[in-house]
Amino acid sequence: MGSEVTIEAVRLAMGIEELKARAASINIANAGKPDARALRFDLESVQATLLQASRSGDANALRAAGDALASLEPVRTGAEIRPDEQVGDMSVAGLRYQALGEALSRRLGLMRLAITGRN
Amino acid sequence: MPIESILDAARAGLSYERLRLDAASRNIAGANVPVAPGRQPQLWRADAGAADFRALVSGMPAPTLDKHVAQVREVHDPGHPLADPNGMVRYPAVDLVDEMTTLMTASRGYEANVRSFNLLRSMMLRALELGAK
Repeated sequence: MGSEVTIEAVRLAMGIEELKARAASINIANAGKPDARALRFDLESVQATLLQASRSGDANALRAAGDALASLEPVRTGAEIRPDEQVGDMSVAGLRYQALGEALSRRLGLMRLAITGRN
Repeated sequence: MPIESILDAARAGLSYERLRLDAASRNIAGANVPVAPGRQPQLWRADAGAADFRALVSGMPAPTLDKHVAQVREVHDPGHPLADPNGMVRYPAVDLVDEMTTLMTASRGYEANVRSFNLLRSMMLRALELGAK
């Protein structure tokens, strides 16, 4: 079912961008504290799942990956926190999140149009 | 998890940077305030709070503004009312370069946290509009 795969893929992608923004927010909040080190979420495997499951049309895998995002814990990178870099990362994640949200809204609008025959 | 929990780290960061600004401002203001004989000079410091891993993740340790004992700077001024028997007046040893640097970095940090807060808020509001069109 193409629509379901699309919606689950966008939902997972939005979850990934939210985690990136959350990590940047934590790093910015801790930037002024002594000996603070950057945190990041390990999202490589989730992004690989997104890519693979989207291509194969596996909505269940996408849904499971999206549900698992809530239990992900950030890891310390050991790197110094650079606030300008973190603000840039957060801006990018925010823009992507909003773009994905817009795409999802339009998709849902088309579905509503197909079902009801009107906006 | 409450919907607004994404903003917790930014709010904690704003609180911490504001306390750092407060501490630096108070220290600069008190740099030339003499200390009475027999009393300890004190300076303000923003304490980040207990930083275990969960606290760092959630950004939620409550920062506090604490006084701590400071070093002494002595000035020879026998005519001063607070001079000791040797004619020395004691002041808190405030490193103005350090405090001014703290003012600037805390101010930039506060701006960064405000930007972080606004970005996260706009993301949250965008999510609430899903399906509206």
